[in-house]
Order: sequence, then C-alpha cells, then structure tokens
Amino acid sequence: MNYQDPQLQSSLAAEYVLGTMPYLARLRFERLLAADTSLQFAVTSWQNKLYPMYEQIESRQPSPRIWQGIRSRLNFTEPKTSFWTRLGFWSDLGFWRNFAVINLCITLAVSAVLLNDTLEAPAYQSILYGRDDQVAMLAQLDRRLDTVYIQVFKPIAMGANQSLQLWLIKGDAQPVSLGLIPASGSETFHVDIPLGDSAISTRLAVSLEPAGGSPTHLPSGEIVLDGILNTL
Amino acid sequence: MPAQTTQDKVDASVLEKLLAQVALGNQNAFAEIYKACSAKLFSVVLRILRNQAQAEEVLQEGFVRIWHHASGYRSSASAPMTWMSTIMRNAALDVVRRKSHEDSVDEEGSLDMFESDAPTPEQSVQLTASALSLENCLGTLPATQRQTLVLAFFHGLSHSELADHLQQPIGTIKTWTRRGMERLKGCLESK
Repeated sequence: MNYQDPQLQSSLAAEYVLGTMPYLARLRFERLLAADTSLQFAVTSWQNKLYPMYEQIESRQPSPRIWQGIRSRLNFTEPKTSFWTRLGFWSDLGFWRNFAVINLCITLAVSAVLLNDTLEAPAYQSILYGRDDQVAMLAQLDRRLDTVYIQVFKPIAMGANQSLQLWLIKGDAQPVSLGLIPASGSETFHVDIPLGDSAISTRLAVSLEPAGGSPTHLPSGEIVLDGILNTL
Repeated sequence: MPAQTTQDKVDASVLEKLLAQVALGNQNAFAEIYKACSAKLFSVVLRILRNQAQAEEVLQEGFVRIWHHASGYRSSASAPMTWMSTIMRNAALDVVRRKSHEDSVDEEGSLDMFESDAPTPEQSVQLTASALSLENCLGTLPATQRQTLVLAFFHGLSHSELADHLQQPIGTIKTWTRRGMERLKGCLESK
C-alpha cells in the first residue's frame, strides 16, 4: 500500500480519528503516524473537523479524589501555607478536599441571593473565606465584570482609620482594585476599570488598607479574605 | 442545581497560555487546566468506557500524559481542548480496543446502551462557528450515515460493534462510515 497517497492518508486518518480502527490496525497506524508529518496533518485536520461535536456534550464532574491521585502520581509538592501563596494555591489538596463543601456553600449562597434579588444577572461569583477558613463574604459580578454585588456574612474586624479594599487578581497579573467595601452588610457598585471578559483563574481578595484605600494602587496591607471567582 | 464552575466557558487562548506554563513545570497552571477542563474530558472518556471507575482511571492517566507531553502541544495545529480530548480519547480507546481484542467475543448485551445516540445538548450552550457548520453538515447526511458516525465518535464503537448494534453486515457499516466521512469532509471544506 502506498501510504503517501493523500487520498489513502485522509481515509485512514478519518477512520483513526473516528475511532473505528481495530486494535492492531490502530497500533500500526500510530507507528506510521509518529514518523509521518503529512499523516499527522491529515489526522489533525480530521480532529479539527469532528471534535466540535464535543461542544454539545454535558460535562460530568469526576470525583475529587482523581485530582489527588494525579497529584500524588506526579509527586507534586505539598501546598504552602503563607497567605499570599495560598491565594495562588486554590489548587491544593485542602481546596479539593473542601470542594464539596464549597459547592454546597455556593449553592446556599446563590439561593440566598436569588431570594434577595440583588444583581439581575450575575455571571461570576466568589465565596470569600476569612483567615479562620470560615465563609465570610459573597461577591458577584455581572457578565461585563463592571457591576459588583457584595454581601458580608460576618462583620470584618478593622481599625478606626482603616478601609477594606476588594481586589481582583487574574492569574499572575497584578491585582486590580474593585473599590472599597463596607465591613458589614451588602452593597452593589460599579467598576470603571476594564477587566476583560474572561474570569478563568481569577481570584478575589480583600485587604486592610489605610482609610480611603491603598496609596500604591496595589494591596499594601494584610489580606483578610480571599476566594476563587467561579463562572455561574 | 448544576454547580458549574469555570467548565465549558474556557477561553482557548487562556488554555494555551496555561499549557505553555505546564510545559515549564508550573503546577498551579496544571491545576487550573484540571479545574477548567476535567468535567468535559471526563464526559468524553465516560461515553467511550461507559464505566465510572474505568473512566476515572483513564481520566487520571490522561492528565498524567498531559503533564508530561504539554511541551509537545502546538497551538498552530489544534486548539488546546482538541489536543487534550485526543489524549483522553486515545487513552480510552486503547482500553476498549485492547479489551475487545483480548476478549475477541463481543458482549452483545452491553451494546443496548446506545439507544439515544445524539449527545444531550446543554440548553444554554453557545456553539462555535465550527460546531455549527459541523452540525449543519451532519444534517445533510443520510440518517444511517449520520447515526453511524455519531455512534462511532462518541462511544468509540468499532466496525463490528456498530454492525452488531445497527444490525447490519459489517460491509454496509464500513460503506456508511466511509461515505459519511467523505460527504462530511466535502461539506465542511466547501464552507
């Protein structure tokens, strides 16, 4: 068989990507594939045609222990405990151990908020935790990330000459201030800074700042609350 | 209530950046990819394996492969989700093909599980342009060809399993898949 024939390459690639190839043929094909760039191109071209079918399938949450298993198979380091480091470590074991609890909290919080009907169409939500690891605040943002609703569940302790400032931290980028927040109760406010439209790998945090907010436009005081921003 | 997190709303350019960081050994980036993609990828393998425990094992194996092979990802060739889905599909197909090769006797009973061959669409899902044109093109195929392709793709059925399930001679199945794929290609490439 002439494996360089583009027609043949495309039909073999089609069968391979569709998944109908029997076991031994599959192994043989993969050996050819490893060494043949035009065959690789044919396969990629079929994948790009067929995989959009997956956009329509429903997601299924795997058990949280799968992530723990992956971490342990890859000998990942144990999570560190410093507060700023922990902000980047929502991925740690503790987070996944608490995943079910967090989900429950989110559900409860959403129900509470739906009853209050405070932000018409929240698109993103974060449950913020205090230093005692207790749920302390709910924050919701609308789709354009320009309206913020917050509800403080437990009054946040601070000095007379201090303010609480809410920050949005996207990946490794510098925190962006969303403004000052009250130490208790709830509030809805607008944000003027363009935040982009993607909230993946984004966290919210609240820091203690001098009255009126951080003079440096970055968190200058202690972080008292933090949480992950989830898509609703 | 479906407590979806960042799943399904994942920006390809964000995933590309995360994969690039994973290639450099960034564990946080890897955790973010897991959080963003694991539920979708789990659904991919679960459809092929139809067994929760096996699917979880394959998902775990797939993510270990993603960690080790992230440096081989080329954004010019395919989207991150396509690349990761391939890893998962291959890991899952390895398991089912090896098993049916070793057994060589098909368990006919297990094939009754595909009565509904179409994916359950998520009502709110917004399809990309390529998903929409794929759906249109699938719609132009004769029903038999469409059903064969969809069953094969989602459930990883081999020609002989398709023949059993659709109660057709294997030759007919091969013709349906070949013609279906040719027509699909023609339709997609004419757009």
